[in-house]
Amino acid sequence: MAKTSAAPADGARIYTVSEVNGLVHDLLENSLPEIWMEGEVSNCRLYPSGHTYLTLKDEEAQIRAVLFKGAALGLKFKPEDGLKVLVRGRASSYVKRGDLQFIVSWMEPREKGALQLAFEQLKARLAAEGLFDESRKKPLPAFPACVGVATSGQGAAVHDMVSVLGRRWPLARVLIYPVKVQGEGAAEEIAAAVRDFNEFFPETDVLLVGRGGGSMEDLWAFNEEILARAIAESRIPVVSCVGHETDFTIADFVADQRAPTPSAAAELAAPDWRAVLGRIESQEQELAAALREKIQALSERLARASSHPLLQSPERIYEDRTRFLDDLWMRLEDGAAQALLKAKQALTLNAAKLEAYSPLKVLGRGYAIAEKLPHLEIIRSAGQVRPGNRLRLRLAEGRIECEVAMTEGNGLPPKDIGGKP
Amino acid sequence: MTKSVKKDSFEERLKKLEELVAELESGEHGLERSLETFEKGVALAKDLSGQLEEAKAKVEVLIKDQGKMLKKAWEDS
Repeated sequence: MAKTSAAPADGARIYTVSEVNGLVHDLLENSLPEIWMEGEVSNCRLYPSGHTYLTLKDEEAQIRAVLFKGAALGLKFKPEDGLKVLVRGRASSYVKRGDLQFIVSWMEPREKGALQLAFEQLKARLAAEGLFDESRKKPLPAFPACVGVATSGQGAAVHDMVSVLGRRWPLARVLIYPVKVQGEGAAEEIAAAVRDFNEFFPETDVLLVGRGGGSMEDLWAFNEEILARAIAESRIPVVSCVGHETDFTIADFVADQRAPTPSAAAELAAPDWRAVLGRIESQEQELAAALREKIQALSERLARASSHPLLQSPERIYEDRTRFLDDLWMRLEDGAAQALLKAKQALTLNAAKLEAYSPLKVLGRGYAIAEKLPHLEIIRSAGQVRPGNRLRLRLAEGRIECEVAMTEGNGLPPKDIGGKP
Repeated sequence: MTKSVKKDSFEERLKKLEELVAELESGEHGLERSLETFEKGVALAKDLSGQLEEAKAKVEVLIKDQGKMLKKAWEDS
């Protein structure tokens, strides 16, 4: 053995890599039972397979570790870098690569409770997604016709909510959806109730989701992501009410309104019918007051109008009108009389003129009108006729036909010879 | 799925009442119209308060049975 020979001794077994890895694997698995170990998480990564690969370390050393999907599902929180943890598991190796790895079957945070951590982690994640944003919050209806309640069918919570709702707002129909509020599957049941209300009873105006107080473990269902998602997706506004005054759950952050207790949630969701009745009555009084005012205003107008002198003694209207008409009539008569008079005067004047200009009047004074035959041209000058021409003389009374014997005058030939040449 | 035809809900009628009050208070309309508004308003107010005074809460429990939702009356213990 002193000699380090290059060749294997006779009969020495030659192992394959797989065999060595297998041996190491078995050796580790068999010699190291499940142990507890503490360390800090680093290089933590979740794979699509659901397995989480990470490194656990202290100041001096580190070891690769794996949290298989099945084990991870049992944890409320998610391992993350920097987290100091206590793990239970066993050292093993990955045969294909010969890597040493610690298989984690359970993990819990060292510095705070696992639930507290899970709560903080989910809260941070959902907040980053914007699920708690004020802009997402839906207003609650002022006068709900239908109120949905998702809570335990037993216990004080449901009783409180029903009695507050019935007392404050009996107009509402209340639909109770009994669910498991703690333990395995509770979050899923509550989430399903929220979805069922949306699907089967979309007429629900507001949804109360909650339970009475309890330990953090008891209230845990209200910190689960599945319920947070269902509330966020609900088209019906959700009021959360979990536990006592000071307990805040993820459901509270994502709900449209958070109430400190179940009865407070019922009060938030339903108005007090007496207050509403008071509001209606005051509306009624306002109606009466407004009408009174209207009538008052109208009668004032009437009074104002009727105090006018004309309305005080209405006959004045007629007096005035009569006077006006009389006046008109008089003016009309005057006008007509004057026009008649003028016409008469004009007529007299014209008749006198007419008489003065009448040719008969001239003839009456001994003049005659000579007309040349056969065309009866009026003769004003001797030149108009020649001897032998026949004339007709018009007298004041009767006429004479005669012949021109001779002419005497200026001797010039007549300018205006009516006869033929 | 149940159709949610919320015709003339309590809220809508209360709003209508408030509108009638506002209309009457504006004093814009004549006496006849004002009287009409007043009468409508008073009838609506009586109707609403009657509904409030007579209402009795109806409480039902939902039970999911093979994908169907059943309802039964609630008995508070």
